[in-house]
Amino acid sequence: MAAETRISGTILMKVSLDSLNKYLSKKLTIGELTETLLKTEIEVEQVMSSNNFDKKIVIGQIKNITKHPNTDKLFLVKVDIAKDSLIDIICGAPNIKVGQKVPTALINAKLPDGLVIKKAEIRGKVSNGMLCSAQELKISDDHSGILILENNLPIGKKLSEIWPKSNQLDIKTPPNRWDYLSLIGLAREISVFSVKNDNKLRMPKINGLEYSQSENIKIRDKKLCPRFLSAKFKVNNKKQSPTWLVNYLESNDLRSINPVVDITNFVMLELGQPSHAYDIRKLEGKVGVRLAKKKEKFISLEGEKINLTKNDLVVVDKTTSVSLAGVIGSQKAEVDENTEEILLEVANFDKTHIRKSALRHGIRTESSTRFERSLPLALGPIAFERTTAHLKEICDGQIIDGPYNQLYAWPWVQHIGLSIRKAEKILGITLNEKEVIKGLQKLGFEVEHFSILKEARKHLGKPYKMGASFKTDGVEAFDCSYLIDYIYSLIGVMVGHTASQQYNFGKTVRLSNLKPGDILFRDGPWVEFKREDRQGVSHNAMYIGDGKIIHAMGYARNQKGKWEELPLKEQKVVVEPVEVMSKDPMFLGAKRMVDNLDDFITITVPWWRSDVKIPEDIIEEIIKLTDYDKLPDSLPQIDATDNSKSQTLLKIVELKKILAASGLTEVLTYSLVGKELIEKIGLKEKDHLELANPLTHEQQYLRTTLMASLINVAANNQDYDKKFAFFEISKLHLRSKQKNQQPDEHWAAGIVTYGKDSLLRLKGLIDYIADFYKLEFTAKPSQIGKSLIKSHSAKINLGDKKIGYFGQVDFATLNKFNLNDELSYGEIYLEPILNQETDIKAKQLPSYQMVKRDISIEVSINISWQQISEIIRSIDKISRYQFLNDYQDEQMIKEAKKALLFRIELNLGAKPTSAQIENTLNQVTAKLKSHLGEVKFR
Amino acid sequence: MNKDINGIKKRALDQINGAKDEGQLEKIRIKFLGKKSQLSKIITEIPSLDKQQKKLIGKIANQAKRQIENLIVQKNKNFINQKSYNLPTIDLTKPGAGVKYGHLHPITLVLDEIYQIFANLGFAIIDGPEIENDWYNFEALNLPVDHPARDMQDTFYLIEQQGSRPMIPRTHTSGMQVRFMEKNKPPFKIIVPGKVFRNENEDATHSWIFTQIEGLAVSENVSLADMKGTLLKIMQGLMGKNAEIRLRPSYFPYTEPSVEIDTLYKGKWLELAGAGMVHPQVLENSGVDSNKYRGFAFGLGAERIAIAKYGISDLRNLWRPKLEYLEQF
Repeated sequence: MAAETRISGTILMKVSLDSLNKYLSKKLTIGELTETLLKTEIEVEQVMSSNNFDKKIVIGQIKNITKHPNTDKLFLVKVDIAKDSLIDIICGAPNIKVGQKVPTALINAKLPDGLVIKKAEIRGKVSNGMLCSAQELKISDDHSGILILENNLPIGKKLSEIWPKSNQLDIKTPPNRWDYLSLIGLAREISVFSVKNDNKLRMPKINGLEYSQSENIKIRDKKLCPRFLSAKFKVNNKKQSPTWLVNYLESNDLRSINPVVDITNFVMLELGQPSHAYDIRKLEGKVGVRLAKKKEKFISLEGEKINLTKNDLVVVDKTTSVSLAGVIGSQKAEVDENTEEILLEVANFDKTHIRKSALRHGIRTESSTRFERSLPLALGPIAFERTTAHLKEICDGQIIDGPYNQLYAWPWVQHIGLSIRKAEKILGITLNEKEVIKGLQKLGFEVEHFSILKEARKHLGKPYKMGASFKTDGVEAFDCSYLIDYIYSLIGVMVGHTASQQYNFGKTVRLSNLKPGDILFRDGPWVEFKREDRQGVSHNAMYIGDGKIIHAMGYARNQKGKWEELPLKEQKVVVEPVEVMSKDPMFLGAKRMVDNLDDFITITVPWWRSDVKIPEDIIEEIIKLTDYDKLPDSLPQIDATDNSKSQTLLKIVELKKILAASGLTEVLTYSLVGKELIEKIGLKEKDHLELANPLTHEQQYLRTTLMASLINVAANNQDYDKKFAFFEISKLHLRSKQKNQQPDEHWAAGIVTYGKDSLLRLKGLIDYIADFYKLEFTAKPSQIGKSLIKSHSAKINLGDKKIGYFGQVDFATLNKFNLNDELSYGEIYLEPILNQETDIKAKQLPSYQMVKRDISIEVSINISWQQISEIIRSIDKISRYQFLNDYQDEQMIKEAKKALLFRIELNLGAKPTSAQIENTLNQVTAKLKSHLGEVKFR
Repeated sequence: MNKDINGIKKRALDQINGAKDEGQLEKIRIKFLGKKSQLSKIITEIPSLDKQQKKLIGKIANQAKRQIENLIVQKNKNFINQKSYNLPTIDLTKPGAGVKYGHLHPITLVLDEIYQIFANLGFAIIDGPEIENDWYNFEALNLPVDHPARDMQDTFYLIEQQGSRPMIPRTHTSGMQVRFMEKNKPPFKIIVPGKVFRNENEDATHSWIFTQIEGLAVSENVSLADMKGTLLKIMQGLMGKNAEIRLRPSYFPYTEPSVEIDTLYKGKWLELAGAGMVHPQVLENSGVDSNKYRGFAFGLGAERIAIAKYGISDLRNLWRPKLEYLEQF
């Protein structure tokens, strides 16, 4: 049955303008409708205009796409337009793929704008038609590509035959609104917000039925199926569905199947309640609802075999399941044109079970999506009656058994009390209570100004019943605390069920300050409670002004002051002087439940608005009705928030800026990578956190380094220049050391230098970063990973902490990425750097000049500048020093030596003598010699 | 002697006038005015002359010296002036040498501006985890398991779990609302920028990874109007004084009332942010007393702003770097 048509998007829905207009007293144009919808949370994704397309526009299927030999921008497309008859079409759209069904305009076809398609030669190739975009077909203004049609459409069919006869909208509705999945629900909302004033909902007339309450359907778990309406009908299903019904279904994207099925689908579209019809001849024995047995088999009416689980709810007959409840029917009991008797099911199933079943078996249907949104219990009878009327009218349907109405839950009525002041504060505007009430009433809410006295007086004289509750007694009987609880629940204030809870809920008030609505408490006789259940508060009453109280009274003191149960007639809600409470020796005091009782309106939520539960939900309705443009543009009156927490992200932007200042380009790459990329740099995918449901294999793992992504960027940009450099700052995700914890996330900067001198250019950038932060990085040459050259890579340390690494990428790796020139990569972990406080203490420059000397030495190739600089630094007369140059001539290469030139500045006071200078220099040479072994001074 | 001096002076002035450059001029200066020059010698001899001669020769010699000096200074000035004219021709339209500024990514440019505007409004800028667990990403935000609202955000899951809780590359930055409120007492106002992930196919206007800026302000008296004013301020800061925003009703399980915010771009309304007043249940789930406090929250799309600000037409260009493309920024 089409109600069970599979749908892909769960919140997208197609509706026809004509069908919507049926339910409105003033018809809207498509423009008026989209304008109206802007005032609701219904989003229009697309407008599909109806159109009488030329017969020469047909549905084609793309069979082959090749590039046009003479231009990059066009493709040669082979399109199947009838059984295996291929035509050649030249097309430039970027979105076409083999297998797609597309609108194909054949030669001589006339497009809606009047253009006639001719055979054409484009750059030496012949085109025998045109693939059309939505804009070219004048159905929307989307011209981003060819209109891709649904894949189940028949090849060669005329577009005009499948195209909606009515203007159609694709709408997206929020999942809290079950009623938006029904045309009446949509029309009800639209009527209120309609750009045409006084637009009214035209609700179809529905005749009530007399139901039997007996258990026609055996329902095992009544929580999962709180309502089941059913009846057996005699039907004539050999008839054709009337044209209006077929049009109604088709214009709202459903197919006509047979009258019985069409009627259930019609009611579902109209009212939002899915229902199901079973062919009685095919059912064996009594029908029931239960959870499936483990591995129970089920064959859907699409013929799909499904292995049920213990959590699937099913409708069964004596032998097998006959539908996956609320999701899809079975082949076994399918209604067809020969069906003469049906069992009609209009049920209410648990939303979560339906959703889980639909997801578990990958079958999301029109029906399951509606149940998922939680249908109100009150909907069932309306849908049942509407279905019954149409069965009678269209296929001579007659009830031969039933109707039955099995109801196992209380149809809850939601009361909300709203303080207008609170609404004003939350919205930031002034409200007019009368207008608020009028607006909410238009939406179907029952609203009135709250008068606690009026509410209380309504119940005067009603019988007292110990332990009364809404569920058992509605508003027909009360005990003392239930009366208070009920009245305050009207404004959404939950004061608690027992007198004791209510005592604890309220704020103490003096008797001299009593206001109507305050509650007086006393202890008293404990009759039906065991001693341990006593909580010291046994009775309460509401003050109603003028020295009077109202309370539900079952006991009173007799003239001797003893507690006595009153005669049954006198056990009721009564008004008495306040002294009955306040002068009683067991009086406990008075409490105020709510401060601003005058400020409340009470709202009774209509049954179809099950989404409205709290005052904030009403406040949303108020602002929707008020117009958002009326909201002032104010700013929050909150002092600036401590910005010490802002430092990480601000400093990251700062670092990006200084890297850009040094000539680097910032890139951003995907945070998820594939196995192939991971392995290219010698890492193993098992060391990476993996997605359970990746979109593609290239986006399956979280990154432990930016290296692979960035080398890949270099490879994709080789034609940019001979030399370039770029960086990315992103987070890395490492598996937590403790199992099953959130991953360790680190900010990292990855830097790539490509082309000549890449490694020293990279080292320069690392030094630059260290200089910027006034930090001292030390490079510790070592083997890093599997893709950097051992002799050309080093760890970067800050003190003893490793904060990164850099090195030249080995040639094997370059090869894997098809890189033509050398590349170096460095990665710095940012948290240790960004969290470091830089502490600058300015030194006064001496008034005299330093003695500058350039020193040239020849040492073993293994001596590092770092070793030399540490020695120089340890000499306290040297105030500054500077690396100038290093080089090797052929002789030095042979001897594994290198020459180094550096400058030192000696701080020897104002006018050093040449002896002093000589002396210090000797000290330097001696120290270098003693630490470095063989040193030649030049 | 008088004659000698005049002779020296004449030769000196001739030679100075004939000098070709500063070097020659310096040689001439040494020759005629140096310590060993004839004129210097004459001047040193002056004290030994008789009184009348002393006066006459002294005057003539010093005059000659001054004239020579002046001409040298004059000439030198000419040479220095001339130097600037003698420089070789240069094409000043060709690119300069040495420094070159790089390029920040457009998303960084947007974030940088946003940080500054929000910092000026007194918002703190907070970082949060990109991998969230189910509680923070969904449940604490009124999105229980099996709630159809979860369909609004197609979600990636990690294979590993945190205990029994699924771990999720966050689908939005809203989870940080809860984390921040758990640890910080109102009032406060913060933004939480960061990457978010959705299990959706990408195209020119949708990416499975994008950048969201969460906003959250909680106090005893913030209002929906404050939220509107804040977002208008932000858009004016980003797009100029004439920026316009529009509010539409919307639904998010974690805000009530909820709105969608659009901004006018090229005559069309572009979806910019989802926002609303923090749902009281979310406040409670985060340990904030919903009777006392309320908050507004929004989720702003950085890519959306980049589209409006820079006219970016294909979001894939932001995540698949081409240096040629990025050097525009």
